[in-house]
Amino acid sequence: MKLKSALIQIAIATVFAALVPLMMHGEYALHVAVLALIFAVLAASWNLVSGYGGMFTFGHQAFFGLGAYVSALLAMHLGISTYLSIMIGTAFAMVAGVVIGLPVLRLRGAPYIAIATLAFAEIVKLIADNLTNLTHGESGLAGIPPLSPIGAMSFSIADSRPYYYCALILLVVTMVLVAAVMASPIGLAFGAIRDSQDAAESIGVDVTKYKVLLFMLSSALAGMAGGLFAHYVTVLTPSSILGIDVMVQIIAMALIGGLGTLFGPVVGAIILTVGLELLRSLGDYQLMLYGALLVVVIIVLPRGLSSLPMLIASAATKQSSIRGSSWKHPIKQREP
Amino acid sequence: MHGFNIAQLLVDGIVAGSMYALMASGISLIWGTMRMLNFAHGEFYMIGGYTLFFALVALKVHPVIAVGLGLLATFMLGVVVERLIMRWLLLRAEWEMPTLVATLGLSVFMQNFALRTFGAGDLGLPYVVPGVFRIAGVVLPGQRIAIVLVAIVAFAVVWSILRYTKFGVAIRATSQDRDTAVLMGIDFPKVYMLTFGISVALAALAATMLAPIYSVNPWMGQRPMLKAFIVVVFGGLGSLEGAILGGVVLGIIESVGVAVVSSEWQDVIAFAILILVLWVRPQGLFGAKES
Amino acid sequence: MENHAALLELTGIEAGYAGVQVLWGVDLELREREIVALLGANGAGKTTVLRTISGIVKPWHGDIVLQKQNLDGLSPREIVSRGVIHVPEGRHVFPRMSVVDNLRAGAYTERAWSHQRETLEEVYGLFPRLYERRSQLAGTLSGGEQQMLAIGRGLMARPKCLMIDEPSLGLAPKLVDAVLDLVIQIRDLGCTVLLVEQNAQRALEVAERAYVMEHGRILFAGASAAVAGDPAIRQAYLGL
Repeated sequence: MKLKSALIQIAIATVFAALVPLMMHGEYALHVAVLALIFAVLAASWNLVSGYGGMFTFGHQAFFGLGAYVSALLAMHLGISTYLSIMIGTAFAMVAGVVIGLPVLRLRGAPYIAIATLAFAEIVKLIADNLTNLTHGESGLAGIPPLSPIGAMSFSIADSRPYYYCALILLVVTMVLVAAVMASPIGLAFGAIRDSQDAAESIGVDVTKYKVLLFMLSSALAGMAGGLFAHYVTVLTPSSILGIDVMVQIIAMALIGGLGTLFGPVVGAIILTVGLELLRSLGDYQLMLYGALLVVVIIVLPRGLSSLPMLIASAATKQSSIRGSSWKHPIKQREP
Repeated sequence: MHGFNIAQLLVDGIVAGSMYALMASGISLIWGTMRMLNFAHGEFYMIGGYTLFFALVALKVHPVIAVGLGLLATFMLGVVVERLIMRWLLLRAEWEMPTLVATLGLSVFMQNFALRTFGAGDLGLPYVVPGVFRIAGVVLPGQRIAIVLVAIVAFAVVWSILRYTKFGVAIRATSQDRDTAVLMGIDFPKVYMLTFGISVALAALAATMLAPIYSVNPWMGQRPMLKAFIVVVFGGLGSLEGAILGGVVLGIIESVGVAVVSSEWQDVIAFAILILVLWVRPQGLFGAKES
Repeated sequence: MENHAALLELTGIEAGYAGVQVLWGVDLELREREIVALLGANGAGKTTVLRTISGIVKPWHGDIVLQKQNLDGLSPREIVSRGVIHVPEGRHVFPRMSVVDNLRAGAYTERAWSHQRETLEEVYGLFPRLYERRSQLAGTLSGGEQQMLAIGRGLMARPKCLMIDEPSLGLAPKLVDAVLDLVIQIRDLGCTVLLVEQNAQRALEVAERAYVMEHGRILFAGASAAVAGDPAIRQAYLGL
């Protein structure tokens, strides 16, 4: 996608999104909308590494959690402005992204990358669990201050509207960044890397540098989303933001919308967050459905909803379809 | 407290490690043969645990039969899952990420299915093997001795199958060069199906041995699976010997570690070592570089 | 030669990969106990012919008949169990299995597995070298030994028809002699051999008949001597 047309699309979507609170009735619906936006940032930032970068990581929740905890603790204990604390939390997440990114980048093969990133997220979660005098562990860190007031606008748990716009701004920034990175030479290089790492290396693309860059950007965005989340819900527990469930949600959102597309993860986040709220009455069945959905989507619609129009079009014309290219002959390729 | 009884720590480490090794060898077997990582391995462990519980408590069968039922039920479930879900993904040109996602989804589904069906409570079980032995100051409950023996027998069986049987030849040929195995008339989808079944049955075996010590609940498989991931990275994915060695090493590191570091930091250290190992030797600590 | 009955017949085979057609109407006939060479430049479609016969590539059109039985729709496994064996280009031995286990893998079909011991004796008779190295890992063998193993592994299935893809590839001239000599011995044991070769000169020396392919079509079929004696074919398609 050309950068210009991407930006125009983002602008149009933003205008519509900005009107949403005016059309919504009830605090709860707006609350769900805020969560959807925050998760959209998470899914979009994960998509940067996994969808565009081709490194399928399983530890994105760690950056989200780091941003949330660091910002919350700084604001609570040092009394600094929440915007400063979110920035520091973001920096923390970014540094963590580089620290885990470097070893992960050396790994070839999805399983090792998955295990390493999962292990990293487990470490972060265990630390949050164990530092009970700081985080209060599973009993939860409560009393996190809401966002500091900006001029006449103040934030409180009672009113989600200001948070909605904060989250929207963060999402728009995220998407513009993603679009800009992908339209830059870095994005083009990643096209080459995804097609073949060896080929990319042989044409002189500095794979490692670009990958670290993606990791940094992606984890910083997740950290910022975490900071916003912390000062919005004002209560944190390790399992609610650092659990593997969070990762499952992120993956499901990005996949359902379409991995490696600009709008896919955002659409996926909105569909799933709103969908789950509608299914709230199902209680535990909710997560069961989540799991089943992942399995079904990956089998039936591996490229997400974004590929649906093309699939329908190709089914209509009976030409060689998306499947034709992804379902190559079973026996042929695939090296051990 | 027995203080620093090294012998006790070593024995405890071997007991725990033999179970890690059982879990890890299943993950390694699937990876070696099908080139996929099974994120739902822990949930098959859980199925083994619940089956044992219901066989013992509801059906009141003999413990040996109960263990057998646990293995059988898990094996069959594994075969069905491979046939109905994994098969579609494994035949694709790009299968690594889709199989990760599918097994992750399956894991979430199975956990919450168990939560919905059996509830969140811990179900306790009596020790299947009674008695406590004391040898030279080392305390050894019968259950723990049984664990090590069962693990040894299981490894011997798996190793013999791989080494001597026709099916073992098929597994090894498929894992080394699937496309050529097809030219031998080896039916690799069938190999996949049975391998998956055997692999998850090994997880169930670990569960039936450990369930009486810990307890049965929907999340019981999470920790063992994460531990098994550490082990396969230590031992090198796809290597049975590596899984055994890695399991025992992790078990001993942990049990000795308790004496040095408080228990809640143990897992942090284990995961940190894992990342370190991957950093230094991406092909695993004992694993040979794959061709 | 004419008294030999037909073993395998391909008529009008069209096939390809993922929508790209490779074979455009291939006719080919193998009779019992003969060596047939399939020649042509790289990319002519020789290997695809073998893959189509062994059931890995499904033909889009045309028939493959083995001793009056149509092989249409049979899986690779069923085709192997009917005695048509494909020895792939580049040996493809199982590197981390011993020589003897590689050979056992070759005897995977029911019938072959039950005769494993006798066949193993026969194969060791043909390849004494493999017997010497029987417990060595196949990955540690030399290129020539790996080629012997790949052929031996094919023989373990007790084939009626052995299709060998580029056996001389990457081998020293002396080893090429040895391999082609074995091809003759295998034919003499009663097995038909379809020999795919880029080394046309040597293949024509051992084969009774030859087919020449280009762009997925058979351009010429006839006795080896006729192929070898036709200057136009030699120059245009065989690079001789």
